[in-house]
Amino acid sequence: MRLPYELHLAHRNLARHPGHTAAMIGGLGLAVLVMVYIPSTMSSFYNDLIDRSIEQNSAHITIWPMEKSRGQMDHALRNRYGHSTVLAFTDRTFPRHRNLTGRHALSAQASKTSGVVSVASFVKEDATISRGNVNLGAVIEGIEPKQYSRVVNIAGHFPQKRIPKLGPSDIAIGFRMAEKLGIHTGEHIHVATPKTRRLMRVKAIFRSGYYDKDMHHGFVALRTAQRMFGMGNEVSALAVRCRNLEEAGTVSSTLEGRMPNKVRNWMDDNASLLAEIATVNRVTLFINVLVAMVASVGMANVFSMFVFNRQKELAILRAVGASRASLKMILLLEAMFIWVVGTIIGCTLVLGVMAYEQEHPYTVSEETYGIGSYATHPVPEAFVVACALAAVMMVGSALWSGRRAAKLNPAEVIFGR
Amino acid sequence: MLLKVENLDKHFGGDVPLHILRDINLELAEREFLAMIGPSGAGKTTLLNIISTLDAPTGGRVLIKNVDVHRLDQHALNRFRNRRLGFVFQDDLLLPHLTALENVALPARISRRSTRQASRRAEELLEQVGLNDRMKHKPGQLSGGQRQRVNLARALVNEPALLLADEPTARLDQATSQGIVQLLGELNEQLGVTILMVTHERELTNCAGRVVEFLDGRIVSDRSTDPGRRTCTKPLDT
Repeated sequence: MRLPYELHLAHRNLARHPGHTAAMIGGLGLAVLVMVYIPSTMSSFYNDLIDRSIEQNSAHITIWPMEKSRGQMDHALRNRYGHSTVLAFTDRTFPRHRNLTGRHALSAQASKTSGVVSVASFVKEDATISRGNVNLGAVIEGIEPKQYSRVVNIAGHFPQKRIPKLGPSDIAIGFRMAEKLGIHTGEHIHVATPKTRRLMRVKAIFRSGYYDKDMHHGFVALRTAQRMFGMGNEVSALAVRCRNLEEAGTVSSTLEGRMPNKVRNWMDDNASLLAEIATVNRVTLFINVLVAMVASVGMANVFSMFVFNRQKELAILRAVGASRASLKMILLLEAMFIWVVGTIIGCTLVLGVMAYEQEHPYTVSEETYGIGSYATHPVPEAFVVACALAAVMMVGSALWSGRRAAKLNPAEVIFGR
Repeated sequence: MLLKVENLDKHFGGDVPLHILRDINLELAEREFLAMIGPSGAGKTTLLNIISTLDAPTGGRVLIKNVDVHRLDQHALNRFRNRRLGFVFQDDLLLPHLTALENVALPARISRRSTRQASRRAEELLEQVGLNDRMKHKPGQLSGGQRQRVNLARALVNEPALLLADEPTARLDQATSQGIVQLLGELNEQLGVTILMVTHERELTNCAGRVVEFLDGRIVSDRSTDPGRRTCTKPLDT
């Protein structure tokens, strides 16, 4: 077999200095570990956050009634209450003015839109929940459990991972609210709306892992909510689920063009979180580039020393006819070997760390982040970027050192002139 | 004529210009064994380096087989050095992490011969220089004389037109030195290898057919040895 002699020499050179070679492989492995781990852990954290706050707690897209302008509001109120009415009311004091009309037609139209998987109507209004002397402001959400769970994955919040059947006097509340009220399943609480005050039985206690929801949220049946808020057959909005999160932007634009409603997607609702993620991603990229640069300088120095220590050998090779390209090739092959082994070790180590984290996840403040713990998941892009950066680093170091090696004057090195 | 050195000059610039070689003219026929002698600093090693293309002349030219070697481009020069020239340096310049066999085979591998071909040729040569039992040894496991023999075998692996030896016995004891020079003489006599050897020990020129003496960068004498007085008589195992 006609293997190039450069490969043979590269292999022998590395085998001859096992400590040196191991140090370079270890250094590169560590650099790869850092370059994979940092973006992966940040990405995992934010993905968990998005998963918890979007996939499990809100719809990809929500279709709301179009908000009326101040002029339209005044006009509507004058028509309803007469011209003598003091127009000091705001939209929020008149829930019925914000109801979504024609929901069935809108729902059918939304369902036919490309990228939409399912649609559910819901009621969402403010109320006060009290037990004894404890009063809590709450958001009451009226849903049709079967339909709604096809849009928002809330079933996982409930015991047995199933949304309980909600009767006309049943309510499901978050565990933090239950703790605050000191109440258990089967006991009763008062729910007051601007229209009614009624006694309701706590049918279930859920745990969303999202602080606000667990503290200030209650689910009731859609029909019950409509009655509580005097909405007749109307609802607050439609919740829409897309094929995937990324499609929400396109789908919401399509819907907005087709219907006279306000259409908001999860990105609009989480703009600050996404901006924060973008900033963190930039910082992560900067850290990675910094790691790659520091590692590159280190590798280039190590390679440079490697070349310096082997000047005589390289000069001998030149003297017996090896070309400059061959010397560069030998160093390049050594670098590629270090790259292959170093990245394999780095990737294996980082996968090991991630596997450990799956067993022992990080604990974070649930009150701050809405998630109690998270573990780093492998992010393929991070592996690709780290391996590519490592390759650039090694090839760069080898070429830089190779250039110096190629410039060696064999006579000067051999005869010491 | 195998080698033709014409009006060769070598000097270094600087505050005090240093003339190493002055108007050197030298010819070497095929199958000749020429020894260049002279005191240290006479310019003989510089001339050898220029002939071997490891150094460049300030003036004049070097023709090997009618090729002006210092006009070759880098690629052609590498090829020429690899295939036409063989080197034996005063230090045993072997790669320490390769075995004797691998060291000898190296120039053949550089000339892109297969591993098998190169190894076979290297084995033959190591046998010829009497190291058939040291093929798998690394340079650190060989004596000075043995290392120089490996060097010699490496220099011959590509069947060069010209073997250049720069004080090949400088680091060796007298007996070993004689052995190496005798081996060179045998290679010349029995295999017809053309040799240009630099030495500063007159007694080591007894195998050479011609002796050129240097002094202060000039050739001061050029004489042929009486064939009857050459003492390289030990038959080479071929």
